[in-house]
Amino acid sequence: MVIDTKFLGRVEVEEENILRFPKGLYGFEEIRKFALLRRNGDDDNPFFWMQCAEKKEPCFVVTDPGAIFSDYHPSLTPAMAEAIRLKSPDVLRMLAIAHVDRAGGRVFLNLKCPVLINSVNNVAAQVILENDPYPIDYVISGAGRGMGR
Amino acid sequence: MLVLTRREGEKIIIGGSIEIVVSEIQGDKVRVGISAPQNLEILRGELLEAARSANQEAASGDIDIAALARPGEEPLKLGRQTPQI
Repeated sequence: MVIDTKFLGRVEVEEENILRFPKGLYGFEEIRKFALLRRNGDDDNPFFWMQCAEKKEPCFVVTDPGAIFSDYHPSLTPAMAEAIRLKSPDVLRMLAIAHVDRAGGRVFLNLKCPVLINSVNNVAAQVILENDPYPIDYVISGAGRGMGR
Repeated sequence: MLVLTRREGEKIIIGGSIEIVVSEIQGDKVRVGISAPQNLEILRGELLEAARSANQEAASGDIDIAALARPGEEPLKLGRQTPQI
């Protein structure tokens, strides 16, 4: 399918590579399809885009939190595994969404609400780690880097 | 909205499979125990609000992805100082 993207113009993405979110994301419950995109030649950048597949927005900046934090190990509940029909932890992929404060300048990583992806069927869900002490606003860029807001 | 008055130790049953018990009342805090089917997501309300507003910020803010390419020289550790929300 062809996606009209926010940053890369029109991009062709194979249907099988589209992530399907049966429940959408928090605050974006009606949006069910996303594609993971990066700019050509930007393969070394741990950050890339999770672009809505149906329209230009929303487009999120995401990263694999496990690649940045050596000690990020969320405890997933059976309900979370069931949400993406996960049969084996080996096929689980995780993404954290970056967000900014209104005043600008600081970029946060939401480690409290990761996106879980079943890499076999591409079914995905955003979850809230109710019982894990990970911050929703870990500062990755700007003043106070490495701390909560 | 249905509003019920309950004392410590008393329960509310919803739909036959969800049980809520007022386990402790102390000053302005109430401890609530919830038994529900495993596939049901149970969240504190303010956490859901925080998740929605973080996503709204994520969708509306312009983040320079190239500037994030090198978040730090050494791998970050969340460690013990990880703040709770």
